[in-house]
Amino acid sequence: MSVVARRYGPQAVILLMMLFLLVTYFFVMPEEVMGFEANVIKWGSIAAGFAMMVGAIDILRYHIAFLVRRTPGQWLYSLVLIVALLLTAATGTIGVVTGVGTTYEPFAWLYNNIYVPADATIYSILVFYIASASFRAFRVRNAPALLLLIVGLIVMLGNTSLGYVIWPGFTPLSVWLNKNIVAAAFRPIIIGAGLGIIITGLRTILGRELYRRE
Amino acid sequence: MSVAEKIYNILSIRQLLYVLLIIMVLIPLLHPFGIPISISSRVREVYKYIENLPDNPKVLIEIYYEPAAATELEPAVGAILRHLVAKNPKIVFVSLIATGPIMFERLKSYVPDVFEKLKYGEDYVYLGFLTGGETACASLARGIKEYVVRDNYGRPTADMPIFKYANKAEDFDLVIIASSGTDVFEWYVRQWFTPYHVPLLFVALSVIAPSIEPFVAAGQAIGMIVGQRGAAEYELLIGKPGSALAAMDAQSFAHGLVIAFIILGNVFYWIIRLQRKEIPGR
Repeated sequence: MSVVARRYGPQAVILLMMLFLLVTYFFVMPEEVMGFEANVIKWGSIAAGFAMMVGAIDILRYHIAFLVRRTPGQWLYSLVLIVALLLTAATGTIGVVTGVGTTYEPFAWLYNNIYVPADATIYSILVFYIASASFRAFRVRNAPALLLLIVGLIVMLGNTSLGYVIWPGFTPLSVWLNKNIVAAAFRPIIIGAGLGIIITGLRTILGRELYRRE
Repeated sequence: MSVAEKIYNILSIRQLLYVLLIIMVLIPLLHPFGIPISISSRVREVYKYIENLPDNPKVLIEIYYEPAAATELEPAVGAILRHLVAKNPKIVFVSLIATGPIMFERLKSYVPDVFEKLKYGEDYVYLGFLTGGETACASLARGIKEYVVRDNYGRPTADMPIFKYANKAEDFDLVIIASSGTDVFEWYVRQWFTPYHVPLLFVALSVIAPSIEPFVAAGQAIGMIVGQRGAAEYELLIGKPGSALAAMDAQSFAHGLVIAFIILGNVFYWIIRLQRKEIPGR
């Protein structure tokens, strides 16, 4: 393959696809064009599926290297990861092939008895950190900190039944704060992110974003 | 060291807070107090919207959460399903997250009464986990049957009667997105609401709600059910108390403890500060 094709080929494909999808998103097009557009989007999902497979293979390769080299302090964890990955993939595949999906007992057992409690535990531990951090973070050192504390307490009490017992107005006040103050604060963040996406898209169209491997 | 400083130091012991937190959660779980809760306008609006849906509504439900978030989101989805089932709905379940299929099975065992009333393939279907994120979301809008050839259990979707009524975005009366993340809400806003104006309902974690608030405020979603509190309110509205309502006391006690620590911490912090200011003045 020539250098030109290797360098500009992928960029041309990206450019054409981006322009095509941009036009079909904003304008009504003939049925044939929309049918092709639906296919292009499907290809995206299929490519994503293969990307996941590539990711799994890459993780395997990475950890097999640790296992082969017997890297101290690492190889045992790599072994656990490899066994878990292969076992989950194998039982999951059997589930799909036999038509029971994720209800296939060995797969469901692995999931419900290892992943579910581990995930729930990690998330639950956060509660302790948040409680401890709140105790320190809500220290009233100046006027803005006092404002933060007041708003924090209103939202916390508004989210609990305890707040309703103390004063029934906490819940509507908390909803009002979220609908008006919080929404106003988050709006520029979302608009900023949107502008960032547009700029990245434009840079890609103009060939300023380098995705290719030179 | 003054008495205030001693108390402040005791309050600062993390382990003390942790132990008290465990106690405060366990006691109400073992012995519920039944503290009354109010119903917010936000949840009432969602309830009214679902109540006013036509008979046989076509609904797409996105199950996008992990086991960690299930305790907050599952009761909300369960309560909405219990409300919806009275209207003989056609429901298409889908997951754009890999943990979705397991979460769906959990949901089925959480509200077995709902799924007993629905016939698979006719009244509901579960498409399973679809890769591709936003591209998968966009493909679903253009035609589910054409995009997903086999469901989560490997059954062909082509012959399923449900897709006669609920196949393309235009067919749906409502899309419910139960998610522990933020991205998926934006995907549905971009791929379902903006081009097809399909009403969206967000079911979100308390911690995620602020970041999706602007979409609701802009009218891009009909409303949102936030966290365990929102689920508990919905359970109250439909008159079927579930796990969210049962856990509200524990949440209240835990929040109460944290608030007490924050207030006490500030009181003693200021006492110490004032005392220290007096010292140089003496």
